[in-house]
Amino acid sequence: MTTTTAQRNVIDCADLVRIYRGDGVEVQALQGLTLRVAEGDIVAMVGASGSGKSTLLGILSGLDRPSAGRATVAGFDLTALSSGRRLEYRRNAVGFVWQQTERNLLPYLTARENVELPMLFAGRAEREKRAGELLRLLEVDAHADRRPGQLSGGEQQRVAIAVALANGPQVLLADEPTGELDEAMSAEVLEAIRAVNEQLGVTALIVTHDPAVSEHVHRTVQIRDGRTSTEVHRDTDRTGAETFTVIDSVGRLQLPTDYVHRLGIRELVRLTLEDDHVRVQPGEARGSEKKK
Amino acid sequence: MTRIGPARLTFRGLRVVPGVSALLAVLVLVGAFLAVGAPRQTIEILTTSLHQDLAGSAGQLALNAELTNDSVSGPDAGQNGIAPVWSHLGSRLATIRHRLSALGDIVEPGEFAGSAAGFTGKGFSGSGTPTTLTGIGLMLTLEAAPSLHDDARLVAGRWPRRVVAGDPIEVVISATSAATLGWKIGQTQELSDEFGAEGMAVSLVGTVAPRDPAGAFWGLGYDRAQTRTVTNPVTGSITYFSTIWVDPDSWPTLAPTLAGRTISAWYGIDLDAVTADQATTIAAEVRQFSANPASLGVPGADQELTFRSGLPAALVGFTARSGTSTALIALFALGPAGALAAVLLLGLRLLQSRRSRAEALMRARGASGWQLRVLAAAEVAVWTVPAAVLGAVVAIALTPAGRSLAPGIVAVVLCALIAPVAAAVLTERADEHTEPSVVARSAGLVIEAAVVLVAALALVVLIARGPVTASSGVDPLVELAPLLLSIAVTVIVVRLMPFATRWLGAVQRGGRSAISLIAASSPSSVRRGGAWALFAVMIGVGLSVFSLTMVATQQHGVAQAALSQVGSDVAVSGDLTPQTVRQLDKLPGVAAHATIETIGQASLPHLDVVMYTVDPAELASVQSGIDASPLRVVHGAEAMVTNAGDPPANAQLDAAGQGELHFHRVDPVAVSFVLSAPRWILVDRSRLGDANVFPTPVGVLLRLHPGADPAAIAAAATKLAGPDATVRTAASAEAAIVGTPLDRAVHATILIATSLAAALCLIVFVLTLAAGATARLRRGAILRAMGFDRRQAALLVLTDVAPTAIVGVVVGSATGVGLAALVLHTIEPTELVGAPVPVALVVDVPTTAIALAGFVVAVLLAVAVAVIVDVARPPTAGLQTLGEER
Repeated sequence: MTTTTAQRNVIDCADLVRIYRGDGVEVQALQGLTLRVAEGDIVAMVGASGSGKSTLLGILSGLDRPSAGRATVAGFDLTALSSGRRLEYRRNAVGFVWQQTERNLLPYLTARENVELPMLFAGRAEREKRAGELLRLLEVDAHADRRPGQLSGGEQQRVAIAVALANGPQVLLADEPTGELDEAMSAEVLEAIRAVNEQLGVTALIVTHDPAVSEHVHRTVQIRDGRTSTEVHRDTDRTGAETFTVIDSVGRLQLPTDYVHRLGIRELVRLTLEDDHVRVQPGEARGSEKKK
Repeated sequence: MTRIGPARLTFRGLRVVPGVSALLAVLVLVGAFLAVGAPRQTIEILTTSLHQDLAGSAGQLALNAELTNDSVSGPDAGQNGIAPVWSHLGSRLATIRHRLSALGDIVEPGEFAGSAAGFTGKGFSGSGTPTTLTGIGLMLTLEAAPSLHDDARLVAGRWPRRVVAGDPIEVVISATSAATLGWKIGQTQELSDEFGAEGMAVSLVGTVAPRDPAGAFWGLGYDRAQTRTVTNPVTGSITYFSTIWVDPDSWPTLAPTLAGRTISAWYGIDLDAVTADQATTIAAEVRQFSANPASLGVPGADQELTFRSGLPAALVGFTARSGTSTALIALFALGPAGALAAVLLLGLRLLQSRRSRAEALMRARGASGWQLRVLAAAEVAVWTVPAAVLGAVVAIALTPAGRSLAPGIVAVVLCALIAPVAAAVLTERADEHTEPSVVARSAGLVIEAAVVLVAALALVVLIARGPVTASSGVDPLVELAPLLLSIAVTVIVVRLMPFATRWLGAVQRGGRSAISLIAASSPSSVRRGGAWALFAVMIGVGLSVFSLTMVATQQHGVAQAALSQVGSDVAVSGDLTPQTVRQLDKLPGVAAHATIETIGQASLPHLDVVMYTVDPAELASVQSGIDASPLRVVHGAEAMVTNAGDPPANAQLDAAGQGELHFHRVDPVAVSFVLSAPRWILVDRSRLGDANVFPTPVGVLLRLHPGADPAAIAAAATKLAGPDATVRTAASAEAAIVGTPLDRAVHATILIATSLAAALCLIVFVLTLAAGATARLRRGAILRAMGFDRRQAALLVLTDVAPTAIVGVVVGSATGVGLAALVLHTIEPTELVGAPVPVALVVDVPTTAIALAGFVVAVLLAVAVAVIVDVARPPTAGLQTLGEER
């Protein structure tokens, strides 16, 4: 699926700020991040360690609250959730997949029981049937009665995806879902996410530092210093790609790091306003040239 | 195919941390056992003591009423007046007894008897009985008791038949009395009353014996069960008193012919059914019953029946005497209770931390706070509810039956639910991953400040209030103060510890050792639960030192009380000759002696007193072991001591005739029994000078060499002083004070409570080490990767816990001694040591040092275990955990 302007944004974050305070030190993990994800899209968010990926996912999952800004997911305003609405959000609006198995699956329950668990908490009927369907969709139904310790890493993550989808959420949030997997298993898991995105229409946001993930998604968003910087959009057939950069409400934008390095851009660039675009060139101010 | 449900989820969750859960179960089991068993056992011990106190007093304790109506007891009362009362009284007593239904079976069915006292007889010749000898008299009481068949069994002969005019009156007597009097069945004797009325022939047809010699029937009449003898102090003649019984149905016809007759009614008390926990209730019920007389309900002969009993006074007296013991038991039991609560809470925190990952997962999967709380509570309840029930069942099985189960049920429910509820509350705290609000951050500080404030207030109130008697029962303030103050001191020390740690860190950084540098720089997470560890060591050490100090203080106080009551190690009282005194002084093992002499009576204003004299130097030598003997004031200017009234400060004694003498009044309970006169003064012998007095020895106080056997010397002294002399030792007096079941219970409680508290506190210490294991493992992994060896890793752990252990032991010891001083300040010395002697705080230094050394060794062992576990795990395990913190 590709993003179109007609589709509504299931994830809509604007100017998100998250500040952690502790031992007299303030850390600004998010510095006015803006991100919009359309319904049914599958997006990868990549960034270096400490760039704010996990902080963003914590907010989107309803486990953390932003210090400032706006965050709406599946119609839930995450900045003003009551306790009951937050619970409803976690139960029905989003599903999560984390990197570590122990954060995804209870080790003392079987795969089927793990999938049934969210439905049990939500008080849903026909849990067995739904669990069976999801396990079948993710091709792990043969291991339904095994415990996580008896499954391979890829199987565990596929079960985790089934668990995340148990209550039929609109959004699937995945935090480094392939972080502990080899290349083949990573591909399996990413394909599984893509499959549920396509078959169930679930919007998926995958946070990762694995560049290979980009090949499995339509849109890759780069996050840097607590802000979204650039985006790469791929064609549906994943053959062509186009790079974008994000411009915030006051006109600030970040250039991709490799562009900056390749062109030797430092401190200033020369902007030229053309009829239908803005030209950005390496260069220095005239005053500087004169000084030289 | 399986299906997950709440029950399955709960039982599957038990697999997460079975070790900690099992520990919680053991703690709850112990808690339930103590909560249910300790009160039952205490009540049992108190009840045993109460029964010892009440034994042999059935007559005094029965509810007894005399019918004083003229138509029954008056000189002109005839058959028409007595018969209706006699026939009605049994049913009326049954009706009145309903008013005591609240006491259940404690009150026995009502009984009554008619009696006429003062009949004299001549006794029997030819049988060699003493009543026929010159100077021997016989005084019989004639009784009719409808319940005699229930209270007595026939030993020989038969029961008396109806009185027939002109025939001898058939009677029975106790077999013991019959043997004493030499009265055989079939023999008849003439009786005459004290008014010299015409003779009355009585024929013995049977002998009886008490079915229950301790029953009220036999206790109410001193000479019912056996003959009593009374010696006339003037003439030296002896009179035998005994009771004989006639047919009860004949009383209405026989009584009008008898002088000095009366009818009494009573309700016996089943003393075995009286329990210590009901003492106050029973006393109140009986008092209320006595205060509201019942109507006899016989037209023409009506009167109010006022039942009186010594039972309320006996029960109140017992409650007062046992109050201190009960308070001490409760006081010492509260220590382990607090420690148990601390271990339970820490165990729950550990459990919660181990479950936190699963809880976070379930929360992320849509579990609500309530669902998580219920799940956490259920997982704990699966362990603790059966444990609590098992603990209670074992406690009930091991403690005496027959006590009310209601308090036990409440205790077991509390024990069973406290851990699940706490688990639910702890889960609630971790419900959101958001930063705590200012209010939440301040709440802990506010609670700590409140605890310190309340503890300070309690301290001030207790100091200002001073000693109070424990007769009103357990004083919650005194009971809770030690635990409250311990917690308050811990809070203060925990707050001050960072400053000390910072200072220590600065010192350590200055050193060259890598261990000290790293220990000073390590994050607080490696000392996770440090406050708990400090609390554990302080409470454990504090309670141990407190208990040991209280025991040492009480033992010293009791020894002092015994020495004061005897006067020295051994005291001999009686009519002694100077030669006997010299012989006593020469007994092997006697180090010194002081002779107490009497010089007759003297007059104080409005009071006659017996004057004793003593040589102050002799007295000082025999009382050197007594810290503050009141008799030692005979030294110096205060030349006299007395227990008599309130004499003027400067009075002139006729007998002494030596001008003005200063008095110092003492409590008679705290001085030697040798000074036996009800009112006396003790005068410095040297102050008598040449007064015309003739001292007579009445007692000797003996001070023994160390190691001498007081019992052997007491036996030798008895031989020398003769059978009429009284010989007592301080050792036997001490044994009498401390040998009661209650005192044994107090010491057993101290021993068990201290051991339990110490063990529990060590468990807390181990748990805190376990709680910091992950952080230590991470640090250890990094350090070992950088070249630290195992010995250095072990030393590092020791360096981590050393400040906590040292501060805990030092501050805990000081707190323990301080608490003992405080409790001593709040208890009347008499209730603690059995006599009004000054009780000084005594710290048993050797025993305390051994106990502290034991604590230090235990802490070192706990650290050693932690080190072994840490070091045994591969460094890679620690490195793996590094990725867990995100």
